[in-house]
Amino acid sequence: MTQNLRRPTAFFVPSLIVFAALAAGCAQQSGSAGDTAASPAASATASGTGGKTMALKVALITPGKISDKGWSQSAYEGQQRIKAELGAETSPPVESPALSDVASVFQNQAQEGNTLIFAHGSEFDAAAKTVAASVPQTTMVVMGGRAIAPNLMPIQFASGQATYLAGVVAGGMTRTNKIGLVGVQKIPIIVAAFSAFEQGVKSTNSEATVTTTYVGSEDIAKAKQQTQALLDSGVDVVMHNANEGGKGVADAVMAKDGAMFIGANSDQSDLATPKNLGSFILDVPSAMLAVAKEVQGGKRGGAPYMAGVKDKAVFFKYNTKFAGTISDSLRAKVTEVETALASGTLDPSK
Amino acid sequence: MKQRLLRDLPLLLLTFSLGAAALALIIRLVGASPVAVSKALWDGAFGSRYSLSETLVQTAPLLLTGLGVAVAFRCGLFNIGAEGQFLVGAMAATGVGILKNVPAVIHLPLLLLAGAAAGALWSGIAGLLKVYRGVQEVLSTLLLNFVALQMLSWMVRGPLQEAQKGFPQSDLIAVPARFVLLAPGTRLHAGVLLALFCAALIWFFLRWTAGGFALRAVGSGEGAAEAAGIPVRRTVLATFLLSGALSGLAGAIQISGVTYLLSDGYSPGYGYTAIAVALLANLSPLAVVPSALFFGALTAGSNVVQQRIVGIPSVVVQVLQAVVLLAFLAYAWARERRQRREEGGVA
Repeated sequence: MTQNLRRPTAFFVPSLIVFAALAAGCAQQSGSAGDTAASPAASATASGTGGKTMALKVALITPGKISDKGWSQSAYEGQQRIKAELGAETSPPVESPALSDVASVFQNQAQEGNTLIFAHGSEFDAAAKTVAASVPQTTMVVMGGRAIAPNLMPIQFASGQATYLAGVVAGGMTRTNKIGLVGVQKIPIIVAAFSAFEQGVKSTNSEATVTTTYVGSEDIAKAKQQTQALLDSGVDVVMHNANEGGKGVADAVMAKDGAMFIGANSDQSDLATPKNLGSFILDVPSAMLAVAKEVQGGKRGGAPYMAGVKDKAVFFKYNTKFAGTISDSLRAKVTEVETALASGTLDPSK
Repeated sequence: MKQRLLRDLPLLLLTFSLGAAALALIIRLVGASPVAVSKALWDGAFGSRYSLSETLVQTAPLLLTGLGVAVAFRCGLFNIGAEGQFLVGAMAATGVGILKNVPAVIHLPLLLLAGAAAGALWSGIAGLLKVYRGVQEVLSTLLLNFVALQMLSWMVRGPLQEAQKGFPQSDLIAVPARFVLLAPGTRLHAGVLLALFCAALIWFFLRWTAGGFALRAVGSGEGAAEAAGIPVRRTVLATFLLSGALSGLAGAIQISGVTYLLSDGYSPGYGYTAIAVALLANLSPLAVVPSALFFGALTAGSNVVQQRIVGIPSVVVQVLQAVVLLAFLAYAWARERRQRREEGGVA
């Protein structure tokens, strides 16, 4: 004891170790039991999915404020649209919960009688997966997620369909037959979207070549520089998928004669107008509405929901203030491609 | 002591009713019913077995970081870096937790030790800067929070990112490295007990050991402590380490008890709430327990308020916590003023 008085560490460390060892011992015993206990409940719900429509009460978790004029607000609009068009009941949205609390928010929302919970971001994926089996009556939908359970499905945007359409426009508009792409990072989702864009370009203009560059971050100045380099090499149409960096891309396009810009993910007609051809759009409310209809019809989960042209969740939106002209024949071609994408006869992801 | 508490009661009641009235007004202003909000708050914090367990789950990280802050403040060190220490603790714990081929029996202890050690190292930086370079710890610990935040952001996209490299988060930690769950159907984990155990441990340390005495002596007056032969520098440094270790341990407990993985934006500000927790407890390790419980209940309750009551945006919940704290500070200030007046009168 006297030794302990002189050396606090000699007193703390052993007591913590003893405690932790005890706790770990218990954890091992119960860990496997917990895992197996979860599965019967899950399989029970899987078999219970019938074809009849169910009453919807829709809850929502957003990563930011629902008044952010962006990502979180779009989800709130989605919830409101489901309420208006499907007559669903809604719960107040939960804004930016602590990530360690998300599982508990799901639990509470299920407890409060919500039958459909939208979690608007992949950061909620892990928590949704942990909770799924314990709330078998509730369907959980994670925007951009990947986890799957009998009552859990992610919404994934078929963004390749949107960029394919943008590619059709770019291929038809280029005069130099050189097109540029500026990405934020070389991650699979962007690589896939760019590959679909290239297919779209080739479908209207087999002569055109596409050069891709990655900024590595959302740095606006860096994006501008790299876009300038593209434009200097003869590129005249640039599409981006660089988030904030898109502003730098737009700046570079504005400074170059004859250059054209395509915006990403939402209506970006405020960027690079009048040199802005339009934007490819991933429409969150439409995607949520499409999923809510599926859930109402009895779908509960098991596979990702691909929100695409058929749901009007992805499309190309022309910029009405574009200074040049987009020919009617090109517009007709875009419409034709849209029809093919919606019917599934054309699939750029393959 | 008891008498004073009784005499202070009207003052306490007055400040808190003023606080409650202010809150009710704010809630009315955003267009909701104060009664409904109170009910939802109560239901979310204590209304059911599940919500009670949630309150306890919320309490654990606040308790440990609150202890960390209290220990430092008792030594006169304004360590406001609990947030950063929490985060590095969580990072180190995750690094150990996702290791394979660790003998199961020692995996959890190893994870906890890693978390505590990382937290200690992190605040140790501020300690060294203070002792050898005279850098104010208020500045260094605060700035280290931002470094930790950036480091987390890098970790979950770099070394600690999940194997499939999709999201900015880590893989799940190994099962033996997780705390056992204490009640089926809830998230209540054994780490909560460890946090309570630490409160007792810190109380014992401060009250009954020479090290604890040195810590308090330095806090009461460095000059006097030095004159009495207490090694001030060593005590300051050791206090930084202890304080950081507690916050680091909090991070480790969240990883192994609640989330099982690390992700970007991991802490909702536990390290900052911890300062409020410690102050509300008047820096007493035992009082930190009810204080943390109080804030834990507020958090658990407010999660339900948000999803049940239309028109309560998340900021109102933060306002709620702020008003409670302000009410308490007003009370503490009024009490101190009266005390001083009385002491002045006697002399």
